[in-house]
Amino acid sequence: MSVQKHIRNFSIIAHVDHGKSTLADRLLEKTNTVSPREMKEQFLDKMDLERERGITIKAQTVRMAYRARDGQEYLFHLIDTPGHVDFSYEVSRSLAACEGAVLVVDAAQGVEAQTLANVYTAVDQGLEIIPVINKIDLPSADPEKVKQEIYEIIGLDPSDALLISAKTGTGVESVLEAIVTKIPPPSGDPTHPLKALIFDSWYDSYQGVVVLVRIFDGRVYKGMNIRFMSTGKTYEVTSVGTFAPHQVFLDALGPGEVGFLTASIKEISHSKIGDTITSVKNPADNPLPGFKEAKPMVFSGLYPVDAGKYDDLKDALEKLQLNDASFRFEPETSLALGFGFRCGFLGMLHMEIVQERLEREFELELITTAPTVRYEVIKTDGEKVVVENPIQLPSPQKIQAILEPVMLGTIHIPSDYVGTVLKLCEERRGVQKEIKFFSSNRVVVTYELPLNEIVIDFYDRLKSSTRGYASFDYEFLAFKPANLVRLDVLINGEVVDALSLIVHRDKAYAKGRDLIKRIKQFIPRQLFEVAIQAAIGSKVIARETIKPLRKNVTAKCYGGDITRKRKLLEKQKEGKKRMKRVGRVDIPQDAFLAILSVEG
Amino acid sequence: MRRFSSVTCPCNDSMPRPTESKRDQTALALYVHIPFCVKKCAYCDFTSYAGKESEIPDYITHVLDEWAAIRRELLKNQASISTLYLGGGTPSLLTENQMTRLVRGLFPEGIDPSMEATVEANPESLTPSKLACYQELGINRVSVGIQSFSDAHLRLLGRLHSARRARECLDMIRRAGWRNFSMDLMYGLPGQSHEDFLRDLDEALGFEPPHLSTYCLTLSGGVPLGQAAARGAIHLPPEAEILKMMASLDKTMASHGYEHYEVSNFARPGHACRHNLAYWTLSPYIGLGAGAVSFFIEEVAPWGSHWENPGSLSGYAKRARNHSWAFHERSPLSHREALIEALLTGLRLKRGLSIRALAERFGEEAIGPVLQKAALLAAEGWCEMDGGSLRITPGGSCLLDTLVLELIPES
Repeated sequence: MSVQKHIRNFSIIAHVDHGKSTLADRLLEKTNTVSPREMKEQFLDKMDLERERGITIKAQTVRMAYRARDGQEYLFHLIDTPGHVDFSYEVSRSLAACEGAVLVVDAAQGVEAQTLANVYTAVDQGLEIIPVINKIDLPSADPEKVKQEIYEIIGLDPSDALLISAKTGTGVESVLEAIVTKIPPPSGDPTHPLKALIFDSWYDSYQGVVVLVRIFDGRVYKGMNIRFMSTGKTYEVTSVGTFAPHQVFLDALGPGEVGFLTASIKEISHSKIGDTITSVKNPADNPLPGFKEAKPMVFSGLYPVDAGKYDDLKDALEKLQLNDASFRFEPETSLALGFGFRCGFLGMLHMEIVQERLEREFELELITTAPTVRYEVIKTDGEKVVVENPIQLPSPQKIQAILEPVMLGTIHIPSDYVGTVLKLCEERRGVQKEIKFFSSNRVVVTYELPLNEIVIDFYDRLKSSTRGYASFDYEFLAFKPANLVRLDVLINGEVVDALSLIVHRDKAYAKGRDLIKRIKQFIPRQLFEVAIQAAIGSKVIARETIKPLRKNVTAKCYGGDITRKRKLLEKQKEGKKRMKRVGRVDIPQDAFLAILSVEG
Repeated sequence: MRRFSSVTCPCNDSMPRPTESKRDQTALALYVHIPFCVKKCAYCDFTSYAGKESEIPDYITHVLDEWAAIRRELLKNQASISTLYLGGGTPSLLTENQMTRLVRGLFPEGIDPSMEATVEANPESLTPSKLACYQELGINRVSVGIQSFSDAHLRLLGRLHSARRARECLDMIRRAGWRNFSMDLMYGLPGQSHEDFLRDLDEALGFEPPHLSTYCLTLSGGVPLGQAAARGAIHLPPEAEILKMMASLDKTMASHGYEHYEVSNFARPGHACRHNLAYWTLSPYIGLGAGAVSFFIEEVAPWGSHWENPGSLSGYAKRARNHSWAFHERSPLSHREALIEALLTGLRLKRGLSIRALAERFGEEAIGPVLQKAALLAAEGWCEMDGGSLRITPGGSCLLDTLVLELIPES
């Protein structure tokens, strides 16, 4: 067992593309943890999807042995963190497993908002931060400016900042040395009752759930009976070990150590991120602080394009959930879309990732309804109901108040774009909290923003109106009352449940008009007239009409034309089969996405 | 032999059934494609080449070789030909010698007078001596590409003839004593009004053609006129105006004693084009020449198979030089594909499809969903099912493609 004072637990904090994975790769190489032969670029990003998007979804951890200049060997645990705002809670738990963090900032791009959120979390948790300025080999690198930003924006002493190029390897040694000298060794007592922090877990079909833990007190070993403190579930440990980076089995894990344990756990929901594992025989009095249930914030309906694929979709969702405790789903029926599932996600990126995985890994074609948020509705009889699907909203006369989730959004922009960004936030019912100007031409704008206003296209609009310079981060603030109504879309008099939206009353007219105009573009002319209406309750607020088709006949159809025409008809029939039918109207799936492009 | 019992109305029961596909029973429609033109029209996306007249002699040789191979290997020298159609391109571009060599080569014993033998001709290249040659060869029907009697529209379409030449040509055909001839007329032309078209139609009817084909201009993106329309240089008439033209066309033709027997075709009694009817009744046909398509039923492909010749002159020549029909790649139809083809062609005809023949050929089970859908559409007046046939009503005829899409069964 390793000597506690030679352990260093740390994370790397960086904005997307600032070089976190490249630096991690260099550390693995320099410590001979991974042989050059094994070295795939960005070793830690396992899934294809992550590799493509350049982001890390699941936290990974790796143990490295480093012989420092003082001649002693140190045991490093690099705890990788997910890199997106949707996963901020997971980030906070990963950081809680560390004593220090390496902050990587791109020498050309400077400090970005997403980085800030994580750095602040690390600072709040008392972690030692090692600032590293990466990509100094770039012609556009401006390390002095970045140093100034590190000082002004984060408040760190920039004189210690290390200048490196993870790509070429320049300065990587100095990072390893700084980890040894600046990050304190973990504290903890092996004789105390076991306290192990869960900072990630995943399902493995051979081992059951693999739980990543950081031991704070006590020891965990094979055969030990453990208890998950939030759920009270008990298990017998079947194996413990670490990743270096391949799975290595050990006899036990002691204070300060980071590793995995398995205990024939079948359900990932039994091992919640942030929960504390203790011993059944000699339990700890209190769990480690900071446990929060990861709650989905964004909801949408997922329906198979081909109704016959319902069971396939269900299987796929179950498989995804094995590895993603924050993802939730339950069966749902839509009059327009048939049988599908209401799914809950941590945020928009999480939603996109799940959809992409379903389509790519499971080869499912899906119709996704507009994302919505969770509302709290106080009924006139005082009952409080939670609404995750607009169609569940009680009738207006039964509603006393609707509360919506409001987020605290932090936007980081060059000062040129302040006006644009303030305008966008105001349009989205934002309440300004703070504007901070920094001498480096950067501005941090803080707004209270209803989540409802940012789930659809806020980030895209923000990016496009600032030529990509803005970065955005948000965290949940509170549920607040708002004047909200349900906007329904009727096609030939029938409400299309999948197109209903909950919107602010002041925006209902404009949104309704815009929405049905967009839907109209997607619905082909039919043999009869089609009326598309937007309504609030029984009041129609806008209408569009699709005139009936009057002429569609091929003029010439002789020998050579027949096969061509037949193939065209077959293709059209196939397309029709994929459409959804409301009353007698065939609606292409694109129409259901029209909602995503409605002007805020 | 199952022959069309009447010229206007071959019985629907003549739809060949898989079990009856014995070769000696096959009455074949024979199409020969002549892919040569002096100039390509601005709307044309057919297989045709301008300025390659020098290749005509070799091309005729290839067509005759192809025919010999098909007769020998596919038909075992046993088929009887019910119709011949020389289409193009511009068949009238062939000199009398070339035409003689082609037709004599195809029919060494001459064309049987009971056959319908059509040649397509364009006003600018048709001459009295060519007409005489056609008659001499046993060709008994000529179809002339008039398209319009407006010089402005003819120019826009890229046609080589004038309105005057069109009139002279029609007079010439009538003077030569052709009892069976047809003309093509187009409508829905850029800038054409309803009145413009009625004038064209009126003038056409003045020549008393026994048969008239009227085509609504359809532009694909790849042709010059289609590109001009896409960039807004020309404007096709609005849909309402075209629908008005279609309605007037129906009314006028009926009052002149023509039957609107197919979407774009009108005939005086006894003058429906027997050759084209083969396409719309799933009867077998052989297409010779570049880009030509054939349809044939054999034991190995009971629902029939299509094959298409290479469209380029060199590609076609290469294949024909193989002197073997086996070189043709066939795509056999599935049951469903054949049913779709039966619906999309049969419903083009005014008389529609015989429900009994459909059921016998494709099975009651397969026809059930089609008839169910048809009943729904019939309730709305788009089609009708009486007298044992399924047909599109006059009100539904402008929406034929949409209705067929509704009717075809799901995969």
